[in-house]
Amino acid sequence: MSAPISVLLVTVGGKRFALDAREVVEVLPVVAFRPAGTGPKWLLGLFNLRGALLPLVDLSIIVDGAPTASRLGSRIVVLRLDGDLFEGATRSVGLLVPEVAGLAIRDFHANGAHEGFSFAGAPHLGPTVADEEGTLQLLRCRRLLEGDAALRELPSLSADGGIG
Amino acid sequence: MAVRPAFHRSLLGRSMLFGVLPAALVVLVVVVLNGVRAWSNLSASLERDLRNATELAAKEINIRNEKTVRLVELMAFVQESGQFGRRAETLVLLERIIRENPDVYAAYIGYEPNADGNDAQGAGPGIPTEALGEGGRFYPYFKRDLKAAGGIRVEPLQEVEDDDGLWYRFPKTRFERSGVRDAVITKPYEYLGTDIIETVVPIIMDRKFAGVAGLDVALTGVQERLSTIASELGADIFLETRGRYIAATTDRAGGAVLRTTEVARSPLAAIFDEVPAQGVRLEERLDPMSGESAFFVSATVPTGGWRLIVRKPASAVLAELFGLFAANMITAIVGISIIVGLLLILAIGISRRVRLAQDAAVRIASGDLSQRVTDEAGSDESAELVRAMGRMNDDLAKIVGSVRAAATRLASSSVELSATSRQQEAAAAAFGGSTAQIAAAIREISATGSELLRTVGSVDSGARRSAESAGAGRERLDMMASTMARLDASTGEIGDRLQVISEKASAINAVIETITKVAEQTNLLSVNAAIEAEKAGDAGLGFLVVAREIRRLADQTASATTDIERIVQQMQDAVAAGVVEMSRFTRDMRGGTADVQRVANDLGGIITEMNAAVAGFSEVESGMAAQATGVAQIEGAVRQVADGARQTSSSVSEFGRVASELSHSVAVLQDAVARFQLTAEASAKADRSVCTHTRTDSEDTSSSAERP
Repeated sequence: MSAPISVLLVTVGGKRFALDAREVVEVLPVVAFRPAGTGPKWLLGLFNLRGALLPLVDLSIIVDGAPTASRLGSRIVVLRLDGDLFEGATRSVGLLVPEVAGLAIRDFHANGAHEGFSFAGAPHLGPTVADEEGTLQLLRCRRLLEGDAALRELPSLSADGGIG
Repeated sequence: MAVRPAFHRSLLGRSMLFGVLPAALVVLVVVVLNGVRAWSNLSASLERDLRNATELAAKEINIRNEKTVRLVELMAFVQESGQFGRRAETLVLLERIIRENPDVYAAYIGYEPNADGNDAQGAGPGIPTEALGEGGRFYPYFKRDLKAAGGIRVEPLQEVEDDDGLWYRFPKTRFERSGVRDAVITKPYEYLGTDIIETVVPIIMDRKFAGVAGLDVALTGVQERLSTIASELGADIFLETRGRYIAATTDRAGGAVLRTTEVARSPLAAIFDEVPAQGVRLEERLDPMSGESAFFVSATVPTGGWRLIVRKPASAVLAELFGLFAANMITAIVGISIIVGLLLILAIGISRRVRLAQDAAVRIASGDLSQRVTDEAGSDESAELVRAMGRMNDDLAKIVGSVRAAATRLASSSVELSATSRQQEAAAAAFGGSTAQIAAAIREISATGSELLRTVGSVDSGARRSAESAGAGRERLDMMASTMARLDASTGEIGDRLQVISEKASAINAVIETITKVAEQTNLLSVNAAIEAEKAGDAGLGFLVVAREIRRLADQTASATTDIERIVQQMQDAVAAGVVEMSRFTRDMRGGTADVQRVANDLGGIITEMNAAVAGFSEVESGMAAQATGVAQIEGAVRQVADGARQTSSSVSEFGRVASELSHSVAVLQDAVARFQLTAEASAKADRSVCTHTRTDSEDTSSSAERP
């Protein structure tokens, strides 16, 4: 497993996080979305991606506790996830992030990296490495959504996998 | 609160110790002594009773025996005095005797064979065959038989073998041998199935034994009678004659039967041996039958020589004794309780009143007169003590109330006095201060006047020079006004130019916004392109480099636009500041021009007035000199007034000191009185009197305050 991977760098609440680029479909400017109304706070609603409706999740609430402030640099990162979690089907979801810093290649299992703390409530927090700009923590997007039963039950809205 | 002594030292405790306890002890001793005496009395009387009862029982049995003997003797006498041989009449008599004597079980007459010469007649009218013995011998035996008609049956007498002719041959041989014709009372024996005792008398005709007359008494009858007596006594009775038991009340169906026992073999043999021939013998000894201690009383029945023993268990005697003794003791205890109770009621009453009086005294000693001592209804000395305490409390309350009222009046008077003196003192001090101020002011005026005089002189010369300078200044001002008007026009033009620059900057901003959006879009595109290139693997490597380059350019563009934006913003800010500054400058300029005009006008006025003033100055100068002289005179007079005020002030201070001493003394008095607490009623009364007096006092004080 000790190999450099390509990651998408995002900044949430002043902290730098990395998303595995293999799971990222694309990055979008913030578009209008239909508010969920009820449900968990971090589920913002549904947005239209070229005709497919995907759930939109606020990463700031999950990672930082506070909602993402509306600003010009905010982006929607479209993730495409598959695996046991979704019974083999491929699901897409949009993550609202305050800022996307770009792509980079980082080794999260290099010497000096931290394995990361694993809490029952935060299985998405991955290992952390230090680079020239500071510390960078890998977010396990799959776990991010696994951890929440509410989201696991919701994605039937995007059962077709979205954007082929 | 009053100190309560320990119970054993309190009045109640002492009265218990010296009154109730001795009385109770005396009564107790009397009761115990009485009890001991009563015990011996009772046991003696119980013994006496037992003795008497035994004697009585013996007598009763004796009377019965005597009665039977008399009856038998009568029967013999009747035969001897004419009835002998008249068989039918004799039979009627026998039947009648049985009928009329319930104690008698059977009656009989037995003749010697053919003693009356009528044996040959046999049965006949009035003489049934059953009345005849062998050979027609007159031999009738009447006995009670419930089965027979009339309850009585007649049958011929029979010799019973084992009784050895007790009822016939014994009297006969005794008479023929010694001529004794007394009644014979036999030992108990069974005759034809019934236990009996016989009383027999020989019938003597012509000094010859002619037959017997006899009565049978059934032992069951004797037993019944003795049982009645025994149950009344709570004892057992044993009766004996000739070594055989006649009756024993211990004999019961199914129990030990003594009647059939020989006395010599019975447990009571030893006791029967000691029965006295006369009188009654009582002894307490171990009962051989029960093994317990018992009282045995014995006596002899003279008629028949029967011996009687009454046995009463010692426990029964003791039980009776205890019953009587207990009654005695209960009476005594009730008596003690009543005495103790009465003494207690008395002691509690007195101690309660004394405690009431003590409480009142303690309260009064501590100065609390506010509580009334409750009236005690009793008539003894303790109630009188409580009432006296109450009267003392009320009288003290009255006295303290009036003292307090007086003190309060005095205090208010002294307070007013000292207040008044303080006012006077203040007034005097103020007056003194005022005069000092006046004096100072006058000195000031005097000095100022001299100064003024000097100044007026110099002002005069200055005024003349000023008037000249003002004329020159006015011309310069006019020139300045025209220059300002030109400047105003130029600033207006600059403002217009600045406005144009601001509009251009806004146009630049719009362009920058467009560039920013493009850069933003480019950035996003480059990210997505990079993601796609990443996914394409090695094939996308080249494209990944291009995407990164695009992104870098986009970032540079974005930062360049940010710089431009910042610069334009600074420019706009500068222009806006310039416009604001320009317009303020214009406004100030216009204001300055107007001010210059006004100053020029004022200068003109001043010049005119200056010239007029210069003329008045010399008049002022001479007036000033006269004023200085007057001021010096006033100053001397004021100094005198100030001296007087100082003296007044010191005497008022003395007065104030005396007043405050009075006030202090009154406070001490009030403190002393304040120790006492009065009832609300008494306090109110005292306060009312204070109010009235205070009013008059204050009037007095105010009138006297006006005097000094």
